[in-house]
Formats: sequence, C-alpha cells, structure tokens
Amino acid sequence: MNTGVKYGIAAVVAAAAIWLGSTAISVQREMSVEYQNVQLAYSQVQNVLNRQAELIPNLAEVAKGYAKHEQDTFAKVAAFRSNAAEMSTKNPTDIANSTDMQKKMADAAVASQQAFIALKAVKEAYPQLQANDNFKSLMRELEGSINRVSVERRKSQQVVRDYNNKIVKFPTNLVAGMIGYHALPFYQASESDQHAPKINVTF
Amino acid sequence: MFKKVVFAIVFALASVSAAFAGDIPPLVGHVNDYANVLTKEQKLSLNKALTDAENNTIDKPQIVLLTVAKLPDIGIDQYANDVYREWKLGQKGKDNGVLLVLAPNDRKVRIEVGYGLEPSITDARSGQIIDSMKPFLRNKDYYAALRNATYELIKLLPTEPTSSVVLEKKSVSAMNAPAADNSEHSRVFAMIGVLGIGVFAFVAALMFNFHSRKQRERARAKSTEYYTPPKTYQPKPKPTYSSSRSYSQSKSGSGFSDGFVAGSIIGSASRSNESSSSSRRSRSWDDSSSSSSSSSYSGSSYDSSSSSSSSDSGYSGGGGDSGGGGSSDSW
Repeated sequence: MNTGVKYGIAAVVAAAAIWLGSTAISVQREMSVEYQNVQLAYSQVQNVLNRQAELIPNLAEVAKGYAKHEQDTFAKVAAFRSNAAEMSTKNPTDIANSTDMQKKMADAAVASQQAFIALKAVKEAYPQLQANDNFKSLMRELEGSINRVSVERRKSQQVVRDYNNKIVKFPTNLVAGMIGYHALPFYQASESDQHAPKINVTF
Repeated sequence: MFKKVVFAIVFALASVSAAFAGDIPPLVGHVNDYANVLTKEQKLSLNKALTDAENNTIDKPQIVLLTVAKLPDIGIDQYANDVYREWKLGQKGKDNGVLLVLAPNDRKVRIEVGYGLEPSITDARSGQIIDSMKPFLRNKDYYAALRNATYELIKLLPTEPTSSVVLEKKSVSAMNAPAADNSEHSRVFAMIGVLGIGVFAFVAALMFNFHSRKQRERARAKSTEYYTPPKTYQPKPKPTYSSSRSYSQSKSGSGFSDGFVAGSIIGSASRSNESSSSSRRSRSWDDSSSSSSSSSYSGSSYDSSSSSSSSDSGYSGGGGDSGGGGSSDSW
C-alpha cells in the first residue's frame, strides 16, 4: 500500500469515527425529547382517568338517591374507581415500558364505559332520575370524559409509534441502543377492547 | 365503448376513494358546508357572525362549522377530533377552538371543544346547546339549528384573557426520567465518546508510519546529517511474534492468512518504529482535521408527527389542539 492509500484509509476511518460521534450526540438529543413526549402522552391519559375518577362518584351519589338497590351498578362504579386509582399512582416512564400497565390502562377505560352503561340503564329505569337536571349534565360530563380518555389513548399510541419509527431508521438505529433508547412496547387492544360498546346516547 | 368502460371505472374508483374514512375536507373558512344544506346568504351571515366573534373576543377563539354528507365509519366523535386537529383550530398555545360537525344524513351532531375553551364551554353546556338544536334538526331546518348553536357558543366565549399555558396538560419537568436512567445514558454516551477517541487515536498511530522503508531510507540518504555506511549485506532480524507464525518478509506479500492481517499491521508498525524515529521528526504531519469533509448528521430529516393543515384558500387555523372535550348526540 502506498502512502496515499494509507492516508486515504485513515481519513475515511477518522471521518467515520467523527460522524458516528456526532450522530450519537444528535440522536441523544432527539430521542430524549421524543421520550419525554411519550411520557407526557401517558401522563395525559392518567390526567383524564383521574378526572373521570372524580366525576363518577358524584354521579353514583345522585343515582343512589333514587335507586338505592342497584348494587350491580355501584359495583361497576367501584371497580372503575379502584382501577383508575391504581393507574394514577404509576410513573409515566413505567407505563411506557410495560405492556401490563398499558393493558391496565385499557381496562380502566373499558371499566368506565361499563360503569356509564350501567348508570344509563339505571336512569332509564327511574324516571325521576331521568328528570334530574344535575344527573343529566353529570352524565354528559361522564360521556365527555370517556371520549377524552379514548382521544388521549389514541394520541399516546401515535406518539409511541412515532418514537419507535424513529428508533429503527438509519442512522439512529446504529447508536440508539448503545445510548439507552430502546423500542417501547405497545399494548394492542384485544378484539373485545377494539369493539367496546359504542355509547349511543339519546337523551 | 372501451373509453366508456375506462371512464366508468375511473369514476367509480374516484368516488369510492372520496368516501373512504379519514378523508378530511379542506378548511375554507368559518363555514364549511360540504353537505350543501345552506344557501349562499345563510353561509355569509353565519360567516360574518363567527368572524366578528373571533376578531372581537379576547385571544381570538375560532369557532368553525362543518357539515358532511356522509360520516366515515369511525364515528362522529373520532372524526370530529381528527378534523379539529388536522385543521388546528384555535390559537397556538391557547387551543381555543370549537368545531361543530353536523351530519344531516347520519342524523348526528357533535361539538368538539379545544383544551383552552373547556372551562368555558363545558361538556354539559355543549350538551345543552345540542338539546336546543334538536327540534330544528328534526324539522330539517338546519340553518336555524346552526344559527342557534352559533349564538349560544358565542355567548359562552370567555371575556377575560386566559394564560397561554395550555390548561389540563401537566408540565414535563414534573416527571423527568428517573436519575438511574440519566446516569446510565451518560455513562454509555461517555463510552461511545471514548471509543470514538480510541478509534481516532488508533488511526493517528497508523498515520505515523505511512512512509515505506524505502522512502525513509531515501530521505535519510538525501539528508547530509547522516553518514550512510556502504551497502553490505546485513541479514534482516528475524521477527519474534508468537501470534503470526506464518508471517513472512513483507516483500513477498504472500503467506499472510486472513486472521493475521491485524497482527501484520501491528507488526509492520512496530518494526518501522525501530528504524525511523529520526525521520519522524523531520517529517511534517498535518492534523487530521483534513477529514472535516465528514458530514455532520443533522436532525432535520426527522418527520414531525403532525401534518400541516391542507387549506387551499389560504385560510388556516392557528395551530391548536383538542383533547376530545365537547358533546355529541343524534336526533
């Protein structure tokens, strides 16, 4: 090998090392922002679940005033509340990294829908409850919060998908694993969740 | 005949694709009547009312009406949210937009409220507005329904400025990644840095010995400092490398097996070390900053997750977001 070739090879190797280093730096910056976006999205879901958890007891109290013996309904309400309470104590980072917790989040969403349907059935059965304006507006709020939960969950799925897409692209995939950013797990709702009963509201 | 068939096929495909879910029509103004239930005058008067409200209210909230001939399968709740976010209604950072979606053929209506207006236009209140629309909707008097809703919504707009911190969203600093994560990241990052420097240094070491033995001897012969002894035969010292048993003199070039290439490079490096320490001093070596031709990686090729709104007529929302607040109903 003559000198020129040796210089050439050394230059190429040096260039590659420098390029790898600068890639690592920019990937680190980009991925940390993306990771925080994921955390923010999951914490948003927690927010709306908490909001729901505060709302439902009020609703149950009003309903209890008219329908003391609807135990099944209140059991469903209690089940949702415990679900949501458990979710609110979790760290968004833990949720991002564990499909179990994401499943629990999905379960909380479904539990709230079931509680809503149960309350609606109670309302149909008790005309006095139906006429109660307070109950009516609370039911509207609950329906709105159920919608909010599904919107925030959809958004969080989008954010995680974007994060994972970035990780697998070249040249990020070269350094992301070394720096500590791995693809995040993704809880895909089962068939029963996907086709959760559509809340058809006609007041 | 053939032309007719082709035209029919193309037309069928076009109409099918237009009906696909997720098709978000372009934003043309405050009134987007894609179901064609309003006359021109009605559209103008609604437009005027909404534009005035936007200009005369603090923080310029954007109330937008949309009628669609057919709802996609995802349902009005998700559709309204998708449209709101695609059109980015409301001012950026304030998210103070409202979208009213009316699907007369599906008999569904939804009021989608952005994050910023949720305190003023609560779910219960949007529900009440929808209740007041229902009698008109049952009579197919869509203009009256929309007019009522417009005025009710305008009445609910806040009259005091809201802070531009978007409500409902927690700040990110409250939940940084746990400290363990951070130190692990920086540790591995430091490892990469050291690795890079190591590779760099290795390459630098290589560069010290770029001149072949012949070049170095020639250079030495040229300089007058040294006395070149007469050329007598001197047996070459036998190398003693345990790892490269098949290492033979470099002149032949053959006999290197693949696994020993690395060993031979190191071998030649240290061999020339013995004999050329003086010529190293006399040779100028420019820095490897010549490799600045390496492209530094820029992050601009990353796509952002949100697409810009498609507005043919130059009308675009301010960049707001909605969390799904509001109310919907059928009649």
